[in-house]
Amino acid sequence: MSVRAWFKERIPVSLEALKAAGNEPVPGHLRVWWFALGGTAAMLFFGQIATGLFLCVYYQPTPERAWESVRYITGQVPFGWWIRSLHKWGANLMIVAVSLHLMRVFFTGAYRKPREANWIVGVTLLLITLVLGFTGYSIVYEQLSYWGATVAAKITEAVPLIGPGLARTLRGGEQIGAPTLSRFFILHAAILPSVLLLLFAVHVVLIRAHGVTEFPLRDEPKPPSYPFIPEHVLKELGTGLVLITVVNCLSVLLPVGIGPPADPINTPEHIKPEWYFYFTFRWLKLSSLQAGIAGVSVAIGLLYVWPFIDSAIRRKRPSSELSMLFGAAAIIVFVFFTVWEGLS
Amino acid sequence: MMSAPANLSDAGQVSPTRRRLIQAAAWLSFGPAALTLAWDLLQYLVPRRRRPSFRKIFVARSAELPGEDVYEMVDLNGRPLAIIQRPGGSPVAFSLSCTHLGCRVHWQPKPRTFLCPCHMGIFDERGRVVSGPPPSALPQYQVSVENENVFVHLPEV
Amino acid sequence: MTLEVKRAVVAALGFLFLGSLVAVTIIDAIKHRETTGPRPPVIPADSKGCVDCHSRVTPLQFAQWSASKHGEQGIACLNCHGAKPEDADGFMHHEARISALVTPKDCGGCHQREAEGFSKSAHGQAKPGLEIHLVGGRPDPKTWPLPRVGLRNPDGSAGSCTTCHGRHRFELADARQPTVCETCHLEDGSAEAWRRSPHGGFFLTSASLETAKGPSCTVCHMASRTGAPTHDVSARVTWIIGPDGKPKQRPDAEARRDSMYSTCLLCHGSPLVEAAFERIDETFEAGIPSHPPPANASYLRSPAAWPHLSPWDRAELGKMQGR
Repeated sequence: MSVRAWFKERIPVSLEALKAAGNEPVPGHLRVWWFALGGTAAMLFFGQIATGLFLCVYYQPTPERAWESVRYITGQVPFGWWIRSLHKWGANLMIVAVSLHLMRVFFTGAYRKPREANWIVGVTLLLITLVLGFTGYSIVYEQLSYWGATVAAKITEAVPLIGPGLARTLRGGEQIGAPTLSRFFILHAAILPSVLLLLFAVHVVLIRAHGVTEFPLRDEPKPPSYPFIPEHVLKELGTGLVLITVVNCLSVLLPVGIGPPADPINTPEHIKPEWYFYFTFRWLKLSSLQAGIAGVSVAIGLLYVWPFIDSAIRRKRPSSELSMLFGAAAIIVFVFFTVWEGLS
Repeated sequence: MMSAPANLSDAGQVSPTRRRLIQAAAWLSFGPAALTLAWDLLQYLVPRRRRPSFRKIFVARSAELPGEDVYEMVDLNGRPLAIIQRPGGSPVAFSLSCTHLGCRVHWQPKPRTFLCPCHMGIFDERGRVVSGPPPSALPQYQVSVENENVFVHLPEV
Repeated sequence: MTLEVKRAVVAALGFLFLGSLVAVTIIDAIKHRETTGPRPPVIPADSKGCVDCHSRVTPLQFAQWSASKHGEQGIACLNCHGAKPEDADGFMHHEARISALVTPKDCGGCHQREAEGFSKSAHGQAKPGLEIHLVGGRPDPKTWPLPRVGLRNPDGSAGSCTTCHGRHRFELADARQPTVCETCHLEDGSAEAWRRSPHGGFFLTSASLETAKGPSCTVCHMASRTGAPTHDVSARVTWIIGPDGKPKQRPDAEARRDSMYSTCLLCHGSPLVEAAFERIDETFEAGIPSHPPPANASYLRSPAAWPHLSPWDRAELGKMQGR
């Protein structure tokens, strides 16, 4: 009996049938690169899981060992510098991809009815990604990690009513220390990725259920669909290869280093969060903490409920492009604050 | 991106050799890439067996090494070793821990052997087992002689 | 883009990916290239003659120098041991004029700041009448090699850097060990008092110098996190025994006290530091206790011990004095 037949008897799944079932025509309007941003973010996330697991082999989440274990990975372990750089650059690119994807969805109006629920899931995915970035950076436990987390907890304290309790939960106590590191680690390595995967599954199910938004640009005829296998598979493969090659090059040209270890006694002169938090950091420095927090909460709230605001606007004025203007303004404000903080 | 209608697989429109060439190219890149990736990741996971580094320690001037007897000392971990001046040859150094169960062996000047008192294992002046239960020869340390100075290379702590 | 072109592009991307992986692998190999043992020293031409002979005759000193920073940088025998024609302590040795006495002035040729600080301190002062005599350019065995701190050198300087820094390794970690200070300062009680105090206790239970949990001698008396370390070990010491055997404050007491005060603030809060200095000053102003200290604490006789005393020892002292 041939090998193939031996397997077929025990795993009675027909590859041909699978191929046929999976070979759904992909709508032609998906050909453009800016429809691939969500998939890019997903690919990067799976990359993060893989590199993160490898990092877990050597990382130790206690204040005494954390920094040292990261230094060990970066300096001693064969290819440790590479895995860590892949993880760091993967994180940066993932945040960029998620943000670009959000912008694409926003500017193509793909959050509108009946896709409001999926938009809400997506915004949540963005916030989880940002918290993953924050926790990931904090557990390196270098000076900027420790003091960045201290500042973040201080800001949390200023939230009305629940602030102090929330900060204490975040820190696992009154100060950043071993309990903080434990909970940040489990959040970063297990809880948040699981929640993200779950929401991602919901996200994909909703997309499959609704179909990807079509929007007729001018009077073009609808572009023809193309087969999933092999064409779309090739596309995904190509994108994946580009991504990993880019991250590889970044890791080689700009490998990640490590700063001085966390010193609870000495505050460094300049505490800065990661670049993707520059805009909130700068915003919070403009006036009182309470006002700053209120502003951030309003912004997040707006983001969540925008589909409904947009539909209210368009009920009044059907051809209004206020959303586009608003979106453009939001991007400009974001870039402005980010650059301002980056340069100061 | 929308030149030819590409929702047909271009089966009949490309020469089979060109297709095979492209497929071969794909395998030629993916195969080695996958192997390199697997190799790199394996090296990441498997801790390197670090070759112990050695420290060169000054023992004595060549002329000071005893002829009949051995020069005893300890290594950096406190384990005993002995240096024998071989007549007409260069000095050699042996660990004095018996390879059977670790007792300290004694040099016997007359038969020029090492004797282990615990179970009567005997090693010759080259460390090889002559008789008794020891399973293997006495481990050696590298000895170098420079300008009539004798150095022994001891494994770092 | 036709399907075939797509396949070709993916194949090409595969090669790009392979290329980046190869780059990663090469970079890693470069990073982890194992160094094969200590680097050979750099031997300048003028010291080659010295090395040829002394690697045989004084192999340990040579080995130490080879492995040191000096050896690495090619600062060799004649840089330190070379003597100029006008140097009183020079003599001819195999066609080279050398000196066996390497003094702070010689070290100060490169280590100027340290030599200056040292010469201002008690370590760099010569006791009257104590000096190294020369016989035919070489040191008179009756006056050398004694512990050189406090001895006048023929070139006018006093003391020696090698008393603390050893020779010829010159590892900073060696000089920072408290045992180095204890070779002389055990008698005056300061070392023992320090060992019995929390400062010494925490230091001595630390895993290493770098992760030390308490200060050793050099930390309080020399180091500075504000970028002004000093080799003037006396700069921060306010009290001294006068010729009458009684403790008295040195000139510029306030500046000295300020200097030590800011050093204490590196770890302690000002209320504690102020209170501690008040107690120290009080004790000194009261003079050396006339009652003999308990037999197991004979070091309590010496005023040098008192600033280093732990609170428990201080309590003992208080009990002794009937307070």
